[in-house]
Amino acid sequence: MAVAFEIIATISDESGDPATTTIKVPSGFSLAQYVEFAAQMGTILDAMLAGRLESLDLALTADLSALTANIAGAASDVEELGRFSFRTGDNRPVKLNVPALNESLVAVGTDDLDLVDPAIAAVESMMTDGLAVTGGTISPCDVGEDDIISLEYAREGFRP
Amino acid sequence: MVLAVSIRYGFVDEKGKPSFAKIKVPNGFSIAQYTEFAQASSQILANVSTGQVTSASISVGLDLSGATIKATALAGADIFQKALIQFNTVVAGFRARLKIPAVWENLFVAGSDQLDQTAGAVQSFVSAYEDGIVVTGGTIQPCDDRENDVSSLTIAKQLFRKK
Repeated sequence: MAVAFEIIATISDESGDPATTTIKVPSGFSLAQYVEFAAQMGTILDAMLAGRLESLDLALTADLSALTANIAGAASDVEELGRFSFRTGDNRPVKLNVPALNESLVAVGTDDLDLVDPAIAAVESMMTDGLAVTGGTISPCDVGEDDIISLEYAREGFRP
Repeated sequence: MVLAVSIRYGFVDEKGKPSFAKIKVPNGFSIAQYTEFAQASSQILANVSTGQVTSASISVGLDLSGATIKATALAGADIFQKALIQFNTVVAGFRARLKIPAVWENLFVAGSDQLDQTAGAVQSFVSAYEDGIVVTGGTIQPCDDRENDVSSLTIAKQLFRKK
């Protein structure tokens, strides 16, 4: 069964309160085509609103059926986190908190994650060097698209 | 300022408690490339977690610079005042519906809770759903969850809800 993509419209009212509505659209088009659709639908939607159309976001879900060893293990707790902090080229901090951290990845006698463990090293490499995809490399960044270049720390943490 | 694309990873632990992690990546890639990244990064995150990665949702901000949008909300605009709009799809029993917040009061028929389907703004919206919007190389027509095309309007009325 095909699962539709969503275009989520965020609308604010006179007092600035936001709300959303969702328009389902078929998958199979390019980003450029969805941008064209959004420009026209934005105009059409705006004409119906007393509120202000703040944004339209395209949301899609990746198929994760090919993941391996992806089951919730015994005694797993989402409150137990792998807290990663990275720095961008402009030295801005970027946090990544991974829920249900595997405790075996914590260096003995510390709360630091074992950076030489292949699983942790893979996270560091993904965030600082990116991942190769067909036709390019996608490298994580901050909200302003400043590229992540270094790991600041990686440690165990807990969320109440 | 260009805002980065956001990937939100859903997790669940042994007790079924949900949580999430987020990674931002640059604009400029294709949907297929973002999907490839989301799948590969999900495996890397699953490898350091004892929880299960349940989803990887990619959110791309769409450029609205080509749209005509009012600069500020009108006086009296309220997100609680919604229009409930429902369409049948081409598959019997499947419907597409949405609730549009802060709809313009003038678009409702006086003395009723029905949207005025003769109003130009409402007709344009219904047409966009029923006929789609032409884009370069094709037409994108809104649909239901399962990508069934919308066929006809069944409900267009006022509704008061927070969510």
